[in-house]
Amino acid sequence: MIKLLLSRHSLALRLLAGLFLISIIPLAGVSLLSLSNFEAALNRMVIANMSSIADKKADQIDTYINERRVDMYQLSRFPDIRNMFTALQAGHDVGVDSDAYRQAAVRAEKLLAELAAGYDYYDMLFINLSGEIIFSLKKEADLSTNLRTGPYRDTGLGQGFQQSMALLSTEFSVFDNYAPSGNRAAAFITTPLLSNGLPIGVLAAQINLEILQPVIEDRTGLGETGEAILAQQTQNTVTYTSHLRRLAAPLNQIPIEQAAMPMQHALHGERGQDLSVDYSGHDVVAAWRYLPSLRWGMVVKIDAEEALAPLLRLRLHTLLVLGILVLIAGAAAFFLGFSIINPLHHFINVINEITLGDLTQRVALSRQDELGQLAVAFNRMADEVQNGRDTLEQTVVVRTAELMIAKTDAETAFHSLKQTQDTLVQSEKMAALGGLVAGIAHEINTPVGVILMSSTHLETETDKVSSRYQQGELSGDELESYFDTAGQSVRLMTINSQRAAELINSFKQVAVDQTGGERREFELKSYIEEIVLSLLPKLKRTAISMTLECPEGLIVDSYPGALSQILTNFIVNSLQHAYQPDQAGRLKIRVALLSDDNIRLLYSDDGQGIPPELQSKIFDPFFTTQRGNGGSGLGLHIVYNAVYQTLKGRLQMHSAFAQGTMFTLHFPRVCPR
Amino acid sequence: MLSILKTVSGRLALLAGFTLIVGASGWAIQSYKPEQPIRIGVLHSLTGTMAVSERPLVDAVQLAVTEINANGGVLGRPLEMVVADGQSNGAVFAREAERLITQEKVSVLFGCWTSFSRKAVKPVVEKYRHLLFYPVQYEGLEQSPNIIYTGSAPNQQIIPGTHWALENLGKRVYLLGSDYIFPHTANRIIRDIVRVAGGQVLAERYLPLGSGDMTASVEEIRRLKPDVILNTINGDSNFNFFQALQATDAKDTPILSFSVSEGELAQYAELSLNAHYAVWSYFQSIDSVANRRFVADYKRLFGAHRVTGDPIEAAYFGVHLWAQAAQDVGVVDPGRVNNAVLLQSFDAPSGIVSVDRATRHVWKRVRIGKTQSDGQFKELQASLYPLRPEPFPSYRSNAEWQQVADQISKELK
Repeated sequence: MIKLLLSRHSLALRLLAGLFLISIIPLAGVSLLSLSNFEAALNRMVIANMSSIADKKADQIDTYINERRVDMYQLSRFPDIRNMFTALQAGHDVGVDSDAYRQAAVRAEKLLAELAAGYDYYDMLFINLSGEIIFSLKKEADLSTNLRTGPYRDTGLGQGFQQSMALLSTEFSVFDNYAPSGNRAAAFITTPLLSNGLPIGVLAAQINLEILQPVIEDRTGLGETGEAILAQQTQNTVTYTSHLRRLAAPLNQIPIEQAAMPMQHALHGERGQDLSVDYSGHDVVAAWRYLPSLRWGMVVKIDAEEALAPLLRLRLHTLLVLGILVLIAGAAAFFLGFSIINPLHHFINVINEITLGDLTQRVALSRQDELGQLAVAFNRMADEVQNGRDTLEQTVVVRTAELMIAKTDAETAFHSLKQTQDTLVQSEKMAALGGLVAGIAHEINTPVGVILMSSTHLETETDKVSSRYQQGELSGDELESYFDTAGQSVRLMTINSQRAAELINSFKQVAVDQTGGERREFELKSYIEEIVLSLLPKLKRTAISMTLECPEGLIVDSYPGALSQILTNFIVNSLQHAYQPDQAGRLKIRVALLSDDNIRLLYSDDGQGIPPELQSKIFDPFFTTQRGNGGSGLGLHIVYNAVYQTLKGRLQMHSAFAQGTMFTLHFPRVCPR
Repeated sequence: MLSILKTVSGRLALLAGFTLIVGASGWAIQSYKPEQPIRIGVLHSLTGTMAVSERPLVDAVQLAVTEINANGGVLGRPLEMVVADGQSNGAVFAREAERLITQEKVSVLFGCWTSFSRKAVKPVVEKYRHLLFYPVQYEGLEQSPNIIYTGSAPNQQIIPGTHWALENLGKRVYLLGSDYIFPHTANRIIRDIVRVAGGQVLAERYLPLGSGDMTASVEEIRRLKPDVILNTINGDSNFNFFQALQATDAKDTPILSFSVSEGELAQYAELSLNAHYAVWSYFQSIDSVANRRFVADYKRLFGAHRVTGDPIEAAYFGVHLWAQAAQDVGVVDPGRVNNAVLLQSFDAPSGIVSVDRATRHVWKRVRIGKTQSDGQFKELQASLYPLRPEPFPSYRSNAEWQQVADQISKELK
């Protein structure tokens, strides 16, 4: 089936492609569109989720710090606290070992320890006007040092103290490693204790970084792979202040260029959220924030793989379903294509059979659709063709028989016609000969008449002389006169006898030639002159002259009879057709030897010419314009045959109205055998 | 037409055509984006005594708008400025703010310089729950739920500035300001700090806004010979004061000005101020990549002779903070953007600026500079980090500060 489809590839593949185009492309288009919509929506959702988690964490941290500031500020406003400080300061003025200080310290310790526990402060401290730490819950190394001059003046505590004193502000320092607390990261809140608008000392609270751990490590909404990362920038190095899950060993300080992009953004004060790459090179969905109160960058991120897992699942499902649908649609297209191709193939086979002559073949297809209708229509057409062919065959047989009869009839007619023509040609030749004999009789009549008259005269004179002699009355004069007469008569008779003999000889030759058709050598000019001579009786009755130009001594080896017939017919035709009665005219025969074996004979008259419409017919047998006047219509036909069949020459005719007609005859000097 | 349906290829063609149309429509729906611009209101004095100071702020907004539009606008829509003139007059400011909100339908307002103009616009933006970005350092003691204050709060300018002056210039101070709410409140705070530092306020004098007569003050200064003059004069009067003082033997008395930036100094080119100091969050002379680009862009857009300054920078990054917030929430509705602005931070020419969600002010650095002969400030001292804004300085409670503020406004009436 596949082979069939492929072998009929143009239509089949087009159908397959078309069906795919219609079914699969919209399907794939819609799927991919909804997939991409879902992808965009999910991306937006996941990013928005990260963003809101980051905002929440930032808010938690900010709120925490702000609340601690406010708490500390409010503590500083409590008279109890201020009194506590005043008592401590008074005791401290006496000496740290004094009872006054101890008692004040015990009281302070009791209250502040409770407060510290409540606020999760690591330590709480009092600093006096001069900068000395006069009280600390933890009593670490910083106790009793001076924050203006001592070793810890540059710590967060020291800076905060100075700010609070100068600007009366409640300060929250950044987290930094604090040596007195074992270098743990700590931040300090410092707030001035005011008396009458003037600072008398500072209350400080120490917060350890661990306080923020619950916020940082709260992974609500961060799934399996999510985490919040915090880092601060010092000059061009980044210090991570939170544990990095992906790294076994804590990453302390790296150059800022090596930090992941989200953290770089955050530390540059930018706020954003997008797909990115984390510190370990994983694709992540990240949100980055700058936390001004800590001066930290915060990145909240989750692996893209996890966050976008629904997308990957949907993508897989979509592709799977799409694949199945492609297969189904492909199969449907295949079968649909086949249901069209198969009948067509059947059609082609049937048509081929019919073409090869088997008109009984019919398409076997019983369907209601267009192909079924086509099959019915085709079969009807085949029926018509078959019927038509049967009828045709019978008709052909009948017609063939009829044609055979007609052909036989025509052949018979043609034979008889041919016979008639031959007979007529022969008759015409005989008629020409008859004319010749008449001419001969006419020519010979004169000399023979002269001879008869001379002999009669001589006989009369002889009888007269003879009787006189017998009577003796014959005189010398009479005798002498007789002798003159006798001599004259004899001379006349001799001359005219010779003349008659010549004429007879000449006519004899022409007649022999005309009737016999012997081939021989002859001198062309004298022969033409003889022909012309034989026609003189006809010419004499007209005002038409005749000229001949021909080279002397041109010996021709051919059929003089044919030449005689040709010229005789030319001349007779000219006399009969070219001129009105008594019209003067001029016939010309001009002969030239064009080459050793090629003779050209021009015959022309200056008569009225042959009408153009007749020119093509003049060589046809039985064509004549003078049937009523005894024209046989064979003259020029005979000429034509004589030229082409006997002389092996060729003939052309030119004729123009009122100018005459010219025949150009070419024939070989030595006729081929 | 129906005959097309009778042929296989006709049906195929129709189906294919239909598919194409459906696909194209889907694509068109997908890719359709509304292109109408987002209108933002810019409300500053283009006329009157404050015009010299305020006109450049319109340009600052223009620069930010140009940058934002070049990057595709906000939510795919370009920003369109609707500029209104407050005419250095509080009533006009209030009227124009209302007009911008109700008639021009702007999505946000950027504007005001003087505190009287801000206090005139404040009830309007609160009434319409709208959003105003206020770009100028001020006296504090205010926190409107509908204003974002991008200028310095007192603890970011007045307090550290005064403290520095007392530490570095001397403890005998002469207070001189324009007679309106900012100088009065500022001097109240200054007095607190002077007291803490053990300094002495020799006199506290006020001049009418736009005043040109400096005789009395200059005479008093000559007489009292203060270590430093803490100057809170606003507008053109600064020139008159500087000029008058220059003409006397007290011309070398150090002056720390709170409302004189590069823009004003550029107007006073003929003066040679050799002991003039200012405290700002931003100086044009800050040597950072971000600031060099900012200054170059500003000059390129508005002229090589133009200078930037702290309010210009604050007006500029205010637009960016707003645009980021609008982009974040996906709408330009002032109510929604208002909350989102509180979460924003931006790498501004002065350094990182972050909106403080508790105070609606901005974490900013403090810089103290001395005026050079070219009208630029040479930075003498700067905070290492941005300072938390405290519109109500934390040595008094908000309630106490409110009392102070009420008292001052009562006095001014």
